[in-house]
Amino acid sequence: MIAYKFLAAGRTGPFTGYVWPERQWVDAPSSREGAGVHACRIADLPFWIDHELWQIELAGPVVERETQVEARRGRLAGRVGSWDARALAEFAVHGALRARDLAVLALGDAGIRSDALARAVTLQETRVVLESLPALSGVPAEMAAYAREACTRALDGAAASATHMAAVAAVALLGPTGFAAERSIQSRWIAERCGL
Amino acid sequence: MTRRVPEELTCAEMVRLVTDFLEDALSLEDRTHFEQHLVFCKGCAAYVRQMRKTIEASSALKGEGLSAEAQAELLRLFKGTCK
Repeated sequence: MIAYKFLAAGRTGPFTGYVWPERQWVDAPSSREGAGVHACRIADLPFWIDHELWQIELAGPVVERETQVEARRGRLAGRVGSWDARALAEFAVHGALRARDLAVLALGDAGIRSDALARAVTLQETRVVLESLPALSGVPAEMAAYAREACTRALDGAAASATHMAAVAAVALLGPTGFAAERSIQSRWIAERCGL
Repeated sequence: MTRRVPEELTCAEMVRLVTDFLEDALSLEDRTHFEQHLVFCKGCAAYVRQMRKTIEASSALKGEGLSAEAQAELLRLFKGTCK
């Protein structure tokens, strides 16, 4: 099976600190469930954002779980070069602007005009407009807060955080199915941006 | 804000679970949620790094050169925190 794996800089496992060799098979340290080689289907990518994205070949039985797959062996087959610092920054902006779009919807539902917010192009501009909104309450207030926070995190370069905020905002507006729906939009964004 | 995604861990829960995470004692489900939280939460990621470094540094201590008074004081403080 061919899948994907996010790693920290230098092919480093973000939770184990293990430095992955390139193009060499790596066996799971034990056969215990959960201790295998973890990787992502395209739909799983938004949950595991990191600096490097690799294509990984998996072997042995592959167990598919909700947000990842697990195999007994894996081999980094090649780096996805299009996932770089610029892509990471663009993904952060995508998350923040999605949170903004959801806030615009919430404000519209509440009968509050938000043309300036919908038209805002940059994160700085979006944040300024959000901060100049009249006093809000209930869902519109919550949505504006998510959008503002997502902008702040995106401006800070925290792509995983900004996009997570967008997914949480989707739950606030659309209900429990919003989270998976927003993560799905994000995985499609990554796939298109990186040509996966 | 309320917790909008019930299966996600809060930062307070992360602090409670960090020892089990570092000792590899979490269930598969909890471990997955723990790691997902680390991806999007810089604060918790820094906290886990700090805990790892503390464990690493304290593992290197041999206890030699520690006066009896200091040892007694440390034990007293430790027992105090375990009440």
